[in-house]
Order: sequence, then C-alpha cells, then structure tokens
Amino acid sequence: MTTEKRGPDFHLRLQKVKSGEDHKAVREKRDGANVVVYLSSRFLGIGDEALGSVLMRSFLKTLLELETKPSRLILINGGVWLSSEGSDVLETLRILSERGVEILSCGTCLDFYGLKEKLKVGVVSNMFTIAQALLEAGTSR
Amino acid sequence: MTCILLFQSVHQVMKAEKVLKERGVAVDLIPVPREISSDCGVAIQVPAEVSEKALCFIGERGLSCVECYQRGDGGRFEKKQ
Repeated sequence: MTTEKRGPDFHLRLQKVKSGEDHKAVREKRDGANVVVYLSSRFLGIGDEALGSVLMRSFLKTLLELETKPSRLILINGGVWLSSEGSDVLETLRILSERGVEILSCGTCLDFYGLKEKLKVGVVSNMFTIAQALLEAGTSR
Repeated sequence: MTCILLFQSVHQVMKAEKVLKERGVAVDLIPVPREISSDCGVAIQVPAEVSEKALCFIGERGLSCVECYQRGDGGRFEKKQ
C-alpha cells in the first residue's frame, strides 16, 4: 500500500502481493520513503560558516540527484532562512517540493527572524507537527 | 548546455564562485557529478556559452580550474580541458 498527497486529497494505492518476497519488497520501498531530514541551521555542520553554506547547497542538490527522496524536510531555528526570500537554495527546494518532498518551516522561528512574510517555499509548521514527523520517521506513513 | 569546472580544493571553489559572481556570471555551485571523480566534492557550473569568459576571469585572479567538462543535453559529460 502506498499513499500520496495530491492537493487536499490523499490517494491510497493497494497492491495485491503473491509471495513473502514481494511483500518484503513492498514494505522496504514504503519504509524507505519515510525519511525525514532535519535542518537546524542554514549551514551544514558546525565550523566555518562559508564552508557550511557551500556544504548545504551541495547537500540539497545531491538530494535532487538521488532516487530515494526524503518524505519531509524540516527547517527549524536558523534553518528557516533556507526557505525564505533571498536564499541561495530556493530553486532547489522548489524542485524538491514539486517532487513530493514536504517542506516544513517552524512558524516560531520564522516569526523570531522576521521572515513570516518572506517564506517562499513549503508551509509554516509547528512543534507538534515537527515532533510527530520526527517520531514517525522510519515507520510507515 | 552547461560547463562544470573542477578545482583542487573547496577554498578555490569558493574564491572562484565569488570572482564569477562579482563579474556577473550566472554561476551555480553543485556537488561533483558521480560520473566525474575529483578530490574536491563541489564544483562550479556555468552556462557553456560563458565558460571561456569564466575561465579568463578566474585566471585573472590567479585561480585555475583543474578540469572542465561540458554537459550535453543528454546529461553526458565531455572533457574540454
């Protein structure tokens, strides 16, 4: 079984499986899709910020190239600069979003940095949704 | 079509990106494609039509790219330098 969000609707797809092997394959595919990427800064890793910025751009572009995509990308604290006006990675995030990656930006953080009106990709989220998404990572959706 | 410029280190990539931005070149920083091996994991991508100019701008600042590839419409890479 797979689920897909299309606009306001969820589409459920059921597939009849014949053997244990097929069942395993379906389960692995489904589980593999529920990966959550959590970014708590606009820089990747701790250290030089210029390098961190380069690494972040490289990381997000690499996600575009990979066949397996995360189901969600959570941006918290300084991470919300990535989805806001002026970000170097907006186009990359837009493509990821078009390919089904949900981009959640922490509302409290957008508010703190004065970016509430400048969010350009994805949706505003809250701690409840973010915590739930993290706890559900790695399980079936 | 685009050109991928590879450098010896990430420091050189960062300097080259700065130089090209200052000179108004549409530059993009990308992970080095799997098909190409490099010591440095990031590369610079520029539109093919401005690649010669970009190499000149970089050279003027004492930077030099170690390899240059052209990415065709089919996604294949052809080594130019």
